[in-house]
Amino acid sequence: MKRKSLLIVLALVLVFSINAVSFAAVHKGGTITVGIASDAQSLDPRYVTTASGMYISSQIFNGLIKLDKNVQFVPDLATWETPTSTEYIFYLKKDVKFHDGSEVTAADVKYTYESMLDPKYASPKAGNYTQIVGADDFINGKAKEVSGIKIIDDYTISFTLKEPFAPFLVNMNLGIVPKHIAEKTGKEFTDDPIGTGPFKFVSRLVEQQTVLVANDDYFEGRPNIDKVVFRPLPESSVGVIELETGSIDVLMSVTQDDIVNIENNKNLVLDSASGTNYQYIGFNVTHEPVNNKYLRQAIAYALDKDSIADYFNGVRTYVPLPGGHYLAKEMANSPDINKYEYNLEKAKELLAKAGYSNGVTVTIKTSSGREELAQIMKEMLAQVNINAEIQLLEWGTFYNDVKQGRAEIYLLGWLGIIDPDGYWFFHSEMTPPNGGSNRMYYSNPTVDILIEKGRRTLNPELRDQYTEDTYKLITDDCPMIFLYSEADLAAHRKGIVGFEPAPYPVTILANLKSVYLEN
Amino acid sequence: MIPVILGVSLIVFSLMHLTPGDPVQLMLGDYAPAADVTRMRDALGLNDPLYIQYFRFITGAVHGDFGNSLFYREPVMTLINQRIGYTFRLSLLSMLISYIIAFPVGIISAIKQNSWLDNFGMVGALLGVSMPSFWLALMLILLFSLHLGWLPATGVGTWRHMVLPAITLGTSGAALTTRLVRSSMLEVIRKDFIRTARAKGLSEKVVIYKHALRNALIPVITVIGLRLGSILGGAVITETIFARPGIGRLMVDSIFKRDYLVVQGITFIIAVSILIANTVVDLTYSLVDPRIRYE
Repeated sequence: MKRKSLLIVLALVLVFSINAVSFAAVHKGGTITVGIASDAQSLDPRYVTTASGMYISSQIFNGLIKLDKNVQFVPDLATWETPTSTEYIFYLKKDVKFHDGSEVTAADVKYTYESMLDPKYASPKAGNYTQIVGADDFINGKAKEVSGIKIIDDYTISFTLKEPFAPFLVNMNLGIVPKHIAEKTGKEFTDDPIGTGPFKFVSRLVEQQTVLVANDDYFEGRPNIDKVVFRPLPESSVGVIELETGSIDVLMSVTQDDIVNIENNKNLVLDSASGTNYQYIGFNVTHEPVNNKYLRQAIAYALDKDSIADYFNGVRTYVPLPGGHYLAKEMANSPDINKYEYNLEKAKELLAKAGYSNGVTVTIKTSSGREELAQIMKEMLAQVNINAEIQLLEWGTFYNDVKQGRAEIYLLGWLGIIDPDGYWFFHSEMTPPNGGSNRMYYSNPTVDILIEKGRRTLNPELRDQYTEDTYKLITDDCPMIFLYSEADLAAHRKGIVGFEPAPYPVTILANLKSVYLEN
Repeated sequence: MIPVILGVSLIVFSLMHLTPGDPVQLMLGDYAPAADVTRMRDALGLNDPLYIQYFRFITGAVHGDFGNSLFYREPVMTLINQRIGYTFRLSLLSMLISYIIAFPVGIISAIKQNSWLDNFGMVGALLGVSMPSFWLALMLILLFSLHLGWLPATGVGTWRHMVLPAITLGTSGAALTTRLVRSSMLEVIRKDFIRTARAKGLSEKVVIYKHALRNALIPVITVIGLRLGSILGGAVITETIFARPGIGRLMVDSIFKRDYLVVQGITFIIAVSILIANTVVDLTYSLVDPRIRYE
């Protein structure tokens, strides 16, 4: 008994001493300088379209909800419930203040979403919210407000959708702006943005730096550091040098080429998270000769995708989802998903079936950054008598060719994929010119129906089943060859404590409020 | 001058609109359905006929208004004003560095032709021309910022931020001008009037600096004039590597984003600068060589 008591006392001493050490180590104050790839084009969350803009804007503003480091939705300014399959009610936290001291109310939320849908402001994000009842009438000037956004009381607001829409929450992390200020300043709101976030805007020198200071009244507690400075560093190799010299403390634009330099420097820490991206080979399925499904499948079999993934330090993926996504992992083991494992014999058989037993010439279009992948493909395809001609184009021209259907085979990737909704990429409605992102010009009526069912289903298990059924058909039709996901990278100097690696769009900056300097 | 500016503006306008790629598509990204793209194009005035867009551009330009950037949503003139000072200061300093090196080396190389000094100068000039500026910039950063820690690698603010970019930008200019000064001097010092000057018993200093150099300056001034006009847009790589705000970087970024109005605005300003620089150069000829007169 005595021994047991002694052990309990010792355990308690240990626990308290650990806490004491960790509390003692938390140092308040100091400045952190963050290197970003380019300057933000806007700090107004309604207009931000670049990663750099999002990094800064997300420190100044809070959305109704946010993504945690595991890319799951969690409450930010509000908790929510879905009483019916088409209604989302958000309950705002009370006593949350904007940086000017005014309280956040449902009127600010309604204004934020309506001003973004207002054609007068031409927000590039307006298209994300047309599922809300009355959004179309508001955009077309037939209504003065969006009927589907209703203020229930000062702290409660509801969004009603035209039909059940499973990915609705994906866009509900938009930063909330104060109505009484944004209404007055209009498009100039970006010059002096006021939000609710952990940091307040101080100054911005275009292409030089943006300075933010800690918000003493932040509703989740004051940040540990006093100030954060964002500096655009367009040349990534120079970014690493700046990190090494200590001119910056955090670098957000880390490339695969920088990994060795960072890992070899004992003063630096690499923050690597399983990426929310995937790289793929796209076929324009209306374009000869790749309109032939057997030829597309032959190409898929002829490529050693495991080696390609290894070569680019990626995680192999078999479906249009990042390799680390739970559904991608499940489907990697599913016998129903054709994984096109490297098989030259099978490739030759399919080539013969496609009518190209004597070989065929195809054209691969790509842009700067993926030329090495194109070269590897060319060499692999030569083994089965497929002659691949590579066209390396400037980005704008390449992108235009892909959209206009002038790229037979193209190399691209998707970033920030957090939802398994296949509508944007594979539904026939999204084929250019009507849609934007089904650049394969792929159309399969059964796939369309399955995708629609999936996005109208709020039951997670049923939705996953629809997704798997959809991807089974898509992998068989082979409008894309899925290759690999890259890790989402950042780096910081040792001595900064509290960063948690997280994928894009969350990133290590999501936790900046809790970060502190050791000395 | 006005027809030239109009011609330049028309060419730039046509080239930008003929280049494949749509600024709205690039701005809205892949998810954007056609209705959103059309709505955005309407809001930005991109659905208007080209001649109306051109007319809008040229009438605005006369008043110094180049419209609003499609990407930044700010007046083009504001974007240019925010950056032009940085480009101008960097370019002037780099030109100063290049001439401080080029004139003495070029003159010495010419008067000591085929000596070790001449060979040394010419090897240096060859190196200066051959080194790509991005490589030189990275080497300078590695040496002076990372290893020695003497100078900041990137940014703006103090004179120390200017040193490395100015050396990077000035090196190739120094090399080119050195070779030009040398060849121009070599041509002049073989002329009869130089022999006469020497025969008169003038000191070598007077012969070289008063008689030879002045006459050798005409082609050099022509090149300086051309550089003066083009420096505004010519520092793209240096501005990018050293993370300096600048007109060159803005222009290249805008070309990639198909931000037509920004590209048109900057090109217009550069064209006008080159025209003004050429006029100034023409006037300078008469100062250097009194035989040249303008009527």
